[in-house]
Amino acid sequence: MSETALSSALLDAWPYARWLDLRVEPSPSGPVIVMPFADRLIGNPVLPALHGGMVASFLELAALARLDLEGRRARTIDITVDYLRPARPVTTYADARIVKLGRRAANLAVEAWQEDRANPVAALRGHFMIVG
Amino acid sequence: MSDGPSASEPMSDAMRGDLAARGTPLSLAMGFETLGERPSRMRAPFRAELVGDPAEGGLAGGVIFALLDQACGMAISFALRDRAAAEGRELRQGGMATLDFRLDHIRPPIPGRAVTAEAECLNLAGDVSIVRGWAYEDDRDDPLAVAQAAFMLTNTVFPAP
Repeated sequence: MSETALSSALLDAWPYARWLDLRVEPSPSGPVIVMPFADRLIGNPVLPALHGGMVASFLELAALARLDLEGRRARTIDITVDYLRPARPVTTYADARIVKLGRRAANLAVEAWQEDRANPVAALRGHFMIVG
Repeated sequence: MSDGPSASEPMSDAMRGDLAARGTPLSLAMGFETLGERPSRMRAPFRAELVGDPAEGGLAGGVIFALLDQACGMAISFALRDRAAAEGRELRQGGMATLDFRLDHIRPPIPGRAVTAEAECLNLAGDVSIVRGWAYEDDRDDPLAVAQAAFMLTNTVFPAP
């Protein structure tokens, strides 16, 4: 994958992806999606921890951006998010893997981590309808 | 986050229990409004910066997810309060953590429209609570998304009256 492909048109075009300030960064194992920390992402001020809905939003957009990098426009059919540990108020990374890319639908698995990639904070499995 | 509790400020148990209903920095930033308690009902006003696919123009799926997650958490808070009242006990609620959350999109949200989420707590047995929720614009019989989730309750006790 070339460096220029790392500018995701989807993350640039979707207002909500811009609101979350998402971007794509290269890594030795392929592109990773990055969500910088912002105060408004907090769901639990006591811990403090990121809102589960923000972690889910990030994972879903990482999946859609991954398909976008493959030139596929998609619409979410369903997603399941497993929360593995509290997401701390720091930068979060995601790696989206295309499990199956069919003609009509794709299945993706996404993992999000913070300081340590070996200790993911959340994981998503989902189906996405290919619309373009 | 100007008037919310700060991360360094300890919260009382009562405040903690009502966190989902009072609003989090996230729900405040997104403008979520609490509409009702049974079922727990919350509304996400339409905001242009929270649109997903600009070709479709409705609120992003992630916003619907966050709204339903918040409404589900709130449903558990109210169910715990109801149970305490029914048993004549005083509730001391710790926190809750989402174990897993499934969201099925039935159709895209209508462009330019606010979305309302409702949630009901299906059980409070043991340490795990099962919740389901649904989201719609105006008609609750015409949902755009449905959710089912499991939450782990931490340090929730119903001490003797």
